Amino acid sequence: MASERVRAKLASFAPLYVLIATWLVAAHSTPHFADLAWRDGRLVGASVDACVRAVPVMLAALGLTLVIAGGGIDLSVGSVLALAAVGAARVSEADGSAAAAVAAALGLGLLVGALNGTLVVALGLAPIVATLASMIVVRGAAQLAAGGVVVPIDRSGLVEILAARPAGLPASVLLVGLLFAAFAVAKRRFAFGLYLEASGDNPRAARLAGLPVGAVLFATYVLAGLAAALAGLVVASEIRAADSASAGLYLELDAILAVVIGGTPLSGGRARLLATLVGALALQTLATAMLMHGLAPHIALLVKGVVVLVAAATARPSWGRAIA
Amino acid sequence: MNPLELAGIEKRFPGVVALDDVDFDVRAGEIHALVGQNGAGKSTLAKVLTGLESADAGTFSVDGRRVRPRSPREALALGIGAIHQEVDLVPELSLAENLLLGREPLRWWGIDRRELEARARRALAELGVAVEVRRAAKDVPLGEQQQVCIARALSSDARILIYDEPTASLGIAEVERLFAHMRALRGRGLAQVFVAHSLEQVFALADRITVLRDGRRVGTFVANETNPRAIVEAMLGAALGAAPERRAAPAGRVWFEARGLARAGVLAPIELALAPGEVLGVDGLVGSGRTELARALVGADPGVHGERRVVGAPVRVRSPRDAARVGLWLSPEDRKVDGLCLGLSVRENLALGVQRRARFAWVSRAAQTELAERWIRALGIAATPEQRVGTLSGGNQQKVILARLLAAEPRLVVLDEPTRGVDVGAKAQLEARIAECAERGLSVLFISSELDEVMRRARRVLVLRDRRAEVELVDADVAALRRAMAGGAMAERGTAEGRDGE
Repeated sequence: MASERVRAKLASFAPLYVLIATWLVAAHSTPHFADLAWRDGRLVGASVDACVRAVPVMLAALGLTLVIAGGGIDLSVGSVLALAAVGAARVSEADGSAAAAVAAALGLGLLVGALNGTLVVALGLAPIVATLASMIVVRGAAQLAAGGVVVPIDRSGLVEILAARPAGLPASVLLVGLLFAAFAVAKRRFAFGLYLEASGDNPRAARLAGLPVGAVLFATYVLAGLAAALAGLVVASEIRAADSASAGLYLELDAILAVVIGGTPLSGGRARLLATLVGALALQTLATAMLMHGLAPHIALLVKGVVVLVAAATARPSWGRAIA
Repeated sequence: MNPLELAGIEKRFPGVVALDDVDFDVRAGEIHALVGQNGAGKSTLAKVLTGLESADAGTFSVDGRRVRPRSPREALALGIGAIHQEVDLVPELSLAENLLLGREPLRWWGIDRRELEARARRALAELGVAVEVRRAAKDVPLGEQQQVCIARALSSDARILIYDEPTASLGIAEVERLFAHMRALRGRGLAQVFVAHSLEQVFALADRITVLRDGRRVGTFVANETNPRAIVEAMLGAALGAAPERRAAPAGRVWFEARGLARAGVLAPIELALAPGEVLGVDGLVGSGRTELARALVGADPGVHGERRVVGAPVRVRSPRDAARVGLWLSPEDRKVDGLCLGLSVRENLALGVQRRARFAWVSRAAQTELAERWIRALGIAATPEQRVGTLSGGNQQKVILARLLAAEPRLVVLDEPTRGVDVGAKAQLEARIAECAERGLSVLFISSELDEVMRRARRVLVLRDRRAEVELVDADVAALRRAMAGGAMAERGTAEGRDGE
């Protein structure tokens, strides 16, 4: 009995094993991958680089974890990222204030999230259909707003804020920490977590038990929109511009992979926020290592696919066989 | 040499020994009933018999030959057919296609439909069932679907049939037909295992009865030489006390009232009134509108008209959330689909009700665990707080729902078939808890197909027929109730108050 519990506990750390294994293989096969140094008050190295590059996916995947835990899916996060980036860039072009740019991005994320939530909760559309449609519409809107050009964002103070390195760590990584903390508190310290997991596990039973299922699921789409908008701010400030055509392209797929590697069941009912972050990190560690190693892109795709399969297989909840 | 013999069967699941050194056999031409409380291991044993689970230890022989079926398919190849509680037909396929699924007669151009239908008709005719085999399974009543399942098992040369609670979803007439079939098959020398909840059915049918308790075999009894009381005591492992008494209807004010409660096309307007601490029985045949009434009361479906009053004041109940706000809770008929979050733990399922009352303020983990432990003790739920509800037996799942309702401190609970699929011991515990709560002022609307259960609990019984209120009986007996359900209510008008809705 005790050994079962220990085994279940160990199995729940599966994404961490994937991350560690990926890192070890990369460190072993790629020269200088494991190097870490303190230079000019900054921590630098391939691992730090992987963390920084993983930020957009980590942010989007945090929001997506909530949506998936509620039994839904959000394919629009990549497009929302682009729209938020363009929105922030447009505002900074006109006005230059960082606060206004942030507000614009978050406002757009909130808007699209609310739209998705309305389509799914109020109109009863299948989440994959509703968010697939909004993925297309929002990408179009981003390109329309950008007017066919890459909009520079360097006039606002935003770039400086996100380029800052408090305590030697990149600000964007700290942003991930903040969002994670906020979601984790909402999940573990408020009724939201229980409501969310119950609604995702069995919405009919949750509704009959008097839970506000619709409101909870609506909230997950709004939070996913906000998280994707934050990712948009990070991407835009990193490249000092918003490219409506390529920003966040296929990001939703990496975000879904991160959630899956983290072991959040796609059928809903459980939200594993920390494991999602670990999953996103594992994906990016792999990508960074293959880049440093000089692997051809097509080989890199094959490797990534295999790693994702292995990771998803190990993250499968171990109780699956008990109820079979 | 018996058709089926099991010896020393052992089966372990994480944290439980489901079967411990169990011996079991069936003779040709015998119906062998398998009974026990929920969690006693009878479902697990049925799963081992039908190849859904394989035993960890012990021997399994068919006609004296050692076998080890690892799937229902392998079991069927050995001549062991299974009839499950839930009918397992493909809803969109025709009855003929279902009956011969995987064994379709093939010609060079594909499936020979004419031959398929002819074979299906023959198989059903052999059972004495006349039903159009071209109809889709979903368009046929449950009882007939089940007969197709039996015909399917027989037509694949099964000589041993395992029935896992086959009557759980059948009406009275359908149960009678099933039993007639089972008796006829016994006459043809088949070995039949009947996993059952109702002792009444067991004694109507079985030749021998094996009792399981806590995964062990307590004993095997010859039906003619024992009695229900002895079997119940063997199941419980304790002597039975006196049956709980029916409560007198408390005089006094009406706590809850429904006026003209109706849903277009589903339920004709119904009037209800309950005093605090009163138990009102609701009964009727399958499809009479019982479940629809239960769901309408808590606002589970849209389009419900009519007025609900709490202590005389109208309340708005347009969703189960609104209902919970005024202390009105439903224990739904289908606990797996509507009642529980099977993937969540006992603690989390119990916390839902309390959390609902606390609104968005957090009920701490420690408080949730304390709550879970308290209710696990109070209702005798065989589980730990962190156990997944999906792994519990049916009776324990039902207790979890009841605990969730009671933990939310309701004023009126609507219990829709709260004892379906629950064994005798758990039934008594559930009933006793409900009675206790009624004594403390909780009103109960009690819906159950088991008439004596309803009569034991409720003085007033509202009988539904054809989705409308047929009659309300006071202090009636089971025979009168049965007549009313079947439509003979006019005869009862002398003693009962007529309620026809509109």
